Amino acid sequence: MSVRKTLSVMQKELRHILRDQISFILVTLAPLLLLFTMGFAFSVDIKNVKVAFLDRDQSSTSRQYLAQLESAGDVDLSYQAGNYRQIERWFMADKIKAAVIIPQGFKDDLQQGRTVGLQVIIDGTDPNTANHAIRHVVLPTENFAAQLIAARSDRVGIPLEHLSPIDLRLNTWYNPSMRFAIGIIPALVAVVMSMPAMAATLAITREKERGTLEGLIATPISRSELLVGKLVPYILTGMLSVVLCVAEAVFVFDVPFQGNLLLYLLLSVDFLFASLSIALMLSAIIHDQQAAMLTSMLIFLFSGFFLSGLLLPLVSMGPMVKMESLMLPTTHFVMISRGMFTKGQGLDPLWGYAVALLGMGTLFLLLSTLLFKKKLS
Amino acid sequence: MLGRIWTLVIKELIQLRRNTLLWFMALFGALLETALVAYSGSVPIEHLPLAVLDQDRTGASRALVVALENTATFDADYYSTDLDEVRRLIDRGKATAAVVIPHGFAEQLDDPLTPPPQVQVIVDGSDSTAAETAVGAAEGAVASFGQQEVNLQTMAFGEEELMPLDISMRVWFNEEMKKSNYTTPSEAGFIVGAIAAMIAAAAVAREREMGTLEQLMVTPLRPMEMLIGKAAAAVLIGYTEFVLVVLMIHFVFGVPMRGSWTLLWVLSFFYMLVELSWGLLVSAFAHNQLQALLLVFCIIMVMMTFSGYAYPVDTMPRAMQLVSNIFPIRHWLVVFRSIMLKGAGVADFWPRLLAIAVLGVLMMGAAVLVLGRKVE
Repeated sequence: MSVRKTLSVMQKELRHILRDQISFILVTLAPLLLLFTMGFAFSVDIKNVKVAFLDRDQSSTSRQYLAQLESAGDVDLSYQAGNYRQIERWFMADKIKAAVIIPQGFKDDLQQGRTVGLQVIIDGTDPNTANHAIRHVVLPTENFAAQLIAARSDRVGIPLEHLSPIDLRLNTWYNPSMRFAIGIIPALVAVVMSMPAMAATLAITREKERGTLEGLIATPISRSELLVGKLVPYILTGMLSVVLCVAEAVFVFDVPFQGNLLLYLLLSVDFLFASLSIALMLSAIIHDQQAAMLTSMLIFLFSGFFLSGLLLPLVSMGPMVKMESLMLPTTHFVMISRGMFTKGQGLDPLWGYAVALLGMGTLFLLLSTLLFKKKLS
Repeated sequence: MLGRIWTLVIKELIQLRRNTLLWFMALFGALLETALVAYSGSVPIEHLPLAVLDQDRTGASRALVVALENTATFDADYYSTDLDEVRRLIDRGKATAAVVIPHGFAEQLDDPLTPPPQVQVIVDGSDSTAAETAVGAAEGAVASFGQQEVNLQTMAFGEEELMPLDISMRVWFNEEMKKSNYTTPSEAGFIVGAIAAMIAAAAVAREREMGTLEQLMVTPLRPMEMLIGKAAAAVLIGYTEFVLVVLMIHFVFGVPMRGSWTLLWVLSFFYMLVELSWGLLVSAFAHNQLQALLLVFCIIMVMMTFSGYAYPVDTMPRAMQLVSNIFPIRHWLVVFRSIMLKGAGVADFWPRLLAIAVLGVLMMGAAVLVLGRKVE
């Protein structure tokens, strides 16, 4: 393998990338834009659940309860129902996520020390929202109940502490305020960096489809020189986007970077090497761009988003899915990115992922050299 | 006009038949992918590794650990002897959470005169989803463990009813709060829409790149007719795929069907056409297939964001919620889930349908305009 020949292929490929300005801008800046959209969309922590209420008691106590619910929970209580049917209709039209029904005699029963049934209805369609609604409706309701218990327990004579016998102290390390941005943006950086691999899937297929590969075949450039020459320019543009994405995470989203930046960049080269080698292998065996696009979408985009551990922790995946996700470079880079951004990990706990990426890169580059036939079909 | 479109449709289908890899990947690759994604998304988040630092070593402290394990969220994988070890385990990502039970836990728990014992739960906050699940499960387990103790202690008093409120909570539409009932329709709607958009996006860009667009331009086909004809392959693949995926999520993943099948098939065909307009619009813009691919990649990522799969759209910032409305998938998933889970009909979600229709007309119009200008 000659360095000079590889360099000339690199130069050619780089010129291709730079000449098609729209593609160049898309490859380098799209990750930034995607990170921005997704980071911004996902990182809100203030939520208002729309809750309807049906107050059948219309008493001072029921109003007091509703006022407390509105101030304590993150709820929007602007839906006052006149009857039960209306609540059903609102649920059907997706207007409300929860409803509270206060029975008749709420005030009287409470004053006389009887237990009152309070009905809470939750729309379970989206378990995330449902859990959120439960937290913001049921917890304030329980607090309201606790105040009533305090009044009663005074009468009965039970010390109040016993009602919460354990003092639970919750500490969230690395992210004490549980900011969603800190938990998701480092992983998103890894996911949006599939862009160079998507573009590289077309690198050889394009030449095949356009017929320009014949020109390359006629030159004395060997297969490995051609492949490495194709690979390196994408690593370069990829590095540019990695730097920009890290800057965006730190300066726009205010996510602290705790690790060693130089090591992070080095490991991103490792990741780009692995994902681009897979892309080149696909490119070497697929003959038309449409099919190559579809395949790269299935491998990099869908798996990268759903199976890389971005949203679901790897430990709770089934063995089959876990195996598939470990075969993706993105999964390893998500681990590296999270570890370095938030925990400030060094190479010591991360070397396994780094070696896996290096192995994948080497294996797939070798495979693509073997599978790529430098002759006319 | 119909005759001309039909001729183009035939041409497209012949080309599609020759491209075996394309339809094989589009149908079976995507079906397999949906199955994997749906399978991974349908299991709840559990088996998070838990480190236990039990300084009390009594029956009560062990019962608390068992209570944490019984939530199924945690597996007590590590028993440590000091806090440094706990720190190392969490630092290295070996444990997602840790529980520290102090010395004297059992005594303080039993003695009504002492303050309640302090239990510390440490959660690794670097992964939001895992952290939220861990916090919720730990709070729940400790609270119910404490509640049992209270019940034992207060039984002796029980003259007046102590509990003033009996909160009866009911969950509608997804009674068991099964995660897959929500996530699988998202994945289905999303993967199928994305594939249709991708195939459509390549359609015109490919002809332009190969130089065959000029040949099409000299035919009497108008831009509008050309786009409709070009969409044929994407419609065929996309719709077949959708039918297969819906049957799979219903029969394999057990998502209930409470509404009308006919309504779903009709509306999904209509949605497919709208989602294709994205692809056609990109296709009219892009100079070559690489640009089309990259543009579609961006659109799909944003689509994914607004599909509500990862995070409900209702909780996003106002500006984002407004932007989300220009993505047909945002409206479609509400319709799709309402039909399957709520058994809703057109009367319940017609504003969403109207929004999808308006978006379809706008995007198709824009695509025709752009292509028309380029052809001239």
